[in-house]
Amino acid sequence: MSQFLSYAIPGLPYGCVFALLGMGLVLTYQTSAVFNLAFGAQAYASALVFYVCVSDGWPTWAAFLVSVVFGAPLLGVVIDLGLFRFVRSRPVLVKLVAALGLLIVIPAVLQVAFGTSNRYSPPSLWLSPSTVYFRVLGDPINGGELSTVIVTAAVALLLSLMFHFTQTGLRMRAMAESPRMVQLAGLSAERVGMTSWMLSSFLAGLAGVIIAPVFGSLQSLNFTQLLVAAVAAAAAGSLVSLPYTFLGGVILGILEEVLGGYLPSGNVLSSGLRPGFPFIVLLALLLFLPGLRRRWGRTDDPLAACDPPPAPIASTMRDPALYRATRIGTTVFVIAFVLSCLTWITDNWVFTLSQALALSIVFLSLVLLTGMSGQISLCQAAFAGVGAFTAGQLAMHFNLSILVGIVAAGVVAALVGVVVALPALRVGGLALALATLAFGLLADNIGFQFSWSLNGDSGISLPRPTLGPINFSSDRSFFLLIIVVLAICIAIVEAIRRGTTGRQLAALRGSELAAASIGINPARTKIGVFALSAGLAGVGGALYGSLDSSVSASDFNTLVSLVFVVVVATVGVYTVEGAIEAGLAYVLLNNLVTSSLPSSWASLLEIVFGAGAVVYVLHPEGVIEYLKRFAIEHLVRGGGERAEAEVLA
Amino acid sequence: MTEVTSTSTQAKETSAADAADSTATAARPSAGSGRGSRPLLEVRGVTKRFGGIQALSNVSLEVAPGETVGLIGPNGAGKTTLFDCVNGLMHPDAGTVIFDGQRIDGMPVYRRARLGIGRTFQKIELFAGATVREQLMVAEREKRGDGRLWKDLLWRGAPSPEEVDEVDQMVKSLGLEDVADTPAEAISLGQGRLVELGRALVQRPRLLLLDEPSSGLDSNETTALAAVLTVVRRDFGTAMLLVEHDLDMVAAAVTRVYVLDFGRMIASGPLDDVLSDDAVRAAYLGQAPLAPS
Ligand SMILES: Nc1ncnc2c1ncn2[C@@H]1O[C@H](COP(=O)(O)OP(=O)(O)OP(=O)(O)O)[C@@H](O)[C@H]1O
Ligand SMILES: [Mg+2]
Repeated sequence: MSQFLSYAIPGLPYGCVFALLGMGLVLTYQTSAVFNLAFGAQAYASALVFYVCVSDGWPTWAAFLVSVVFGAPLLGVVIDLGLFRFVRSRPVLVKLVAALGLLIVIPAVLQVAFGTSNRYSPPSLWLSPSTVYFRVLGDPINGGELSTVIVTAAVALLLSLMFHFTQTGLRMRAMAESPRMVQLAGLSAERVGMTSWMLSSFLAGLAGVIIAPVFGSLQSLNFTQLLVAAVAAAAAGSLVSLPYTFLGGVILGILEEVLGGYLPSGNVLSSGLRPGFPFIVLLALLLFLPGLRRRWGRTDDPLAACDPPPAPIASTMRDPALYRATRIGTTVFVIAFVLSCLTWITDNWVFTLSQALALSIVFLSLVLLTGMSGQISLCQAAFAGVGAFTAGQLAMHFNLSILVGIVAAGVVAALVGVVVALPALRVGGLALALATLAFGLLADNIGFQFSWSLNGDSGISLPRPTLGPINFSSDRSFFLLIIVVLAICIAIVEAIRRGTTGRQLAALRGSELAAASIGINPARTKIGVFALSAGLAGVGGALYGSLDSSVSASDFNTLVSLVFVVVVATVGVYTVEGAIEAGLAYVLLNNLVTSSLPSSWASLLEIVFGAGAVVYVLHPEGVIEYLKRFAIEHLVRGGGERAEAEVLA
Repeated sequence: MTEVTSTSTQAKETSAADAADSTATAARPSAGSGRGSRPLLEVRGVTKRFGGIQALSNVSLEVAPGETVGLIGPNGAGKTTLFDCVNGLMHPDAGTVIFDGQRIDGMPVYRRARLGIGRTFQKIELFAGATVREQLMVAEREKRGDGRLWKDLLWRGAPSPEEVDEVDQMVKSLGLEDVADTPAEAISLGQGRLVELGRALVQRPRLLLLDEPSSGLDSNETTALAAVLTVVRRDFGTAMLLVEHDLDMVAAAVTRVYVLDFGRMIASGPLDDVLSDDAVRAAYLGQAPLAPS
């Protein structure tokens, strides 16, 4: 018992934080229909501001006021007014991309504002973690644990009083029950929504400040990972119940530590299992909670005060002039590009461009998955990682050519994709996003740490391939190989788009009910496409690895996956060119930032693409696609008038 | 204005009714006795509850092959719910659904569709973003059931000339040529209903479930719809279950009707008999005109 307690007690602060964040998630999901994956980043923001204030010599209470009491709700209001208010009746995909954009932008902006220096041993809010206050059955309770529990309990108590006895609380409950009725009763859904954003952002900020001392130093990734546990807590409450979410969070935090305590230490599995535990719980809840699956599977939103507006026609239809211009332009450009790369462009640039094109293959997998099939995956980098280690390990242990390895990489990644997608795809949307997020984090923490996979941060090496007499070890010949593989992948995606599957996907995106009613098997079609997309990512990852000659787990971590989604969504997720432009934009900007700009600009890339994701809300067709259309409309003379004439006719 | 339209509708309706009658007499004996041939659709004791609402309680009905049967009842009677149970969008709490001698409750929607159950939706469900022609083409491709991922990958996924032909034919017979290449968002509700109908029809279903096909249509469109249904019945021998508030249309199309009220089947038989039934009168009191005008 005493041993159990000694493991369980350190779990309490985690549990409290999971509970706070989880309640924030449920609150905003119920009142504004947004699943805000950025709460982790908001927690980081408050923790960072608190840190900075305290280290500037402010008294703790003043720092707390600024970072949590005023700062956090203010941030909540800003993101509600500036972003989430506009997306609540949009498809799940748009909401997720918007939240992901925030998740990436907030820490990046903070880095620019406060510098990138390491911040060790964050200050505690109230009681010092190094003081032991009393003992329970002989186990010491330190100030950190004590204050966390007291603060969380107080907040939970206040919340429940508020929900039961105040007007605002009643309105929020009514809103969760039936948003339509709230509006019919003449209450402003917007006002109620804003209150809940303030409240939940406050909870996130509080969670950030009280958990910070537990981490040795302040790092945004730690806070992002907290969020997955919070999602699991919210899932335990089926996304509706605050008390169950609270309980779920606390139990999860304690279980995590207890599990870590009892597991033998020293091998990858046990060291990875503890941080991986929340993701396993989340996957299990997704699988086994039928109520949750129904809720997440439903196509309408809890808030939809009216039916979501149809997708803007502009985002799916293209002017024929643009088609023609694109085709001619692309042909000329591709020929010129390839010839240039083979002749006058320097080796360094050929290498950089090769990187861009290898990434384009991974991005192509998102065009297939997200653009054509309307699904979202937050673990595309993990599939690329699976591909990379498959090819690498086959080459290392079986002396298999990387060319064979690349094919094997695609196959293995596709199989892993099926396993990931099977449980979640039947319900789709948010559930798939979260399942893939959980899988990606599991891969980071456990899967990629083994020596038979990516060997953690030490990484593995991949040779360049040879094909009979042809040797691809020079950058230029490898560039050619990448071009060929890219062309094949493009052909695959285009074949799907033009074939039966493409039609089925379009139908499923349009109306799943009607699609099933004409005999389309939604689950099979989606799983097939998901697997194919994972396979493409695997191929891209293997090529990327072979180009770089070595890869490690950090090349394919979850943050990379999130950035991938955001980059492709920003640049253009509906077209094949979008993937290539995204690859080029990402690598070239990255190059610019790392080689030519001062280090304080390091997060520029994140800011650009994060902000781009926010723009995605306005232009789902992608920024570059939008610009192209804009240009065509104005450059091709009469284009505008012609369109108008058609409308009038 | 109203006067004129209603008379013109009526004139067309009568001709549609005549056409319907000729098939009806052929279908009636088998449907009436129900013994001679096996019914195409058999619903037995289906019950469906939503929390406290009993949407369907112990509902049974039969549709013979090629027969057109009406399903009427006031709002909220459970007609759409019954369709959902037949088509698979909902699973009944109790009871069985048999199609062509085979139990289908428990089957997923797409498999029922492949057996030959087509439907249209009361709240229209088009494939947003796709043009009218594309909507029909998906259904046409699905009918062949030979769409496979690997065929697409070998560039064998393009529709064949026959398929294109078939779709063109359907577009023409529904009078949708003008909007054939317009995306679903940009067509009228009436055209949308026709697209839904066409999408079901290109698959040559054996049973067609029509959920208020004429609601939201103007009188011309209603007439066109009635004509199409007549042709379908005559040429394809498709059995239909028709939910409709427009009793003129029901009268013109069906051989007999079932009446649902509060989830219970309160009457069945030829329309005129049913409408003079006391229970039906009570259910409809103040709801809608009772007799076809
Ligand atoms: N998904 C659902 N959840 C809860 N109740 C439902 C659901 N679908 C239908 N109902 C209820 O079941 C009852 C029957 O509904 P149904 O839509 O089948 O009626 P209907 O006969 O089609 O009516 P209408 O003529 O208005 O279309 C109604 O009381 C309705 O409110
Ligand atoms: Mg109905």
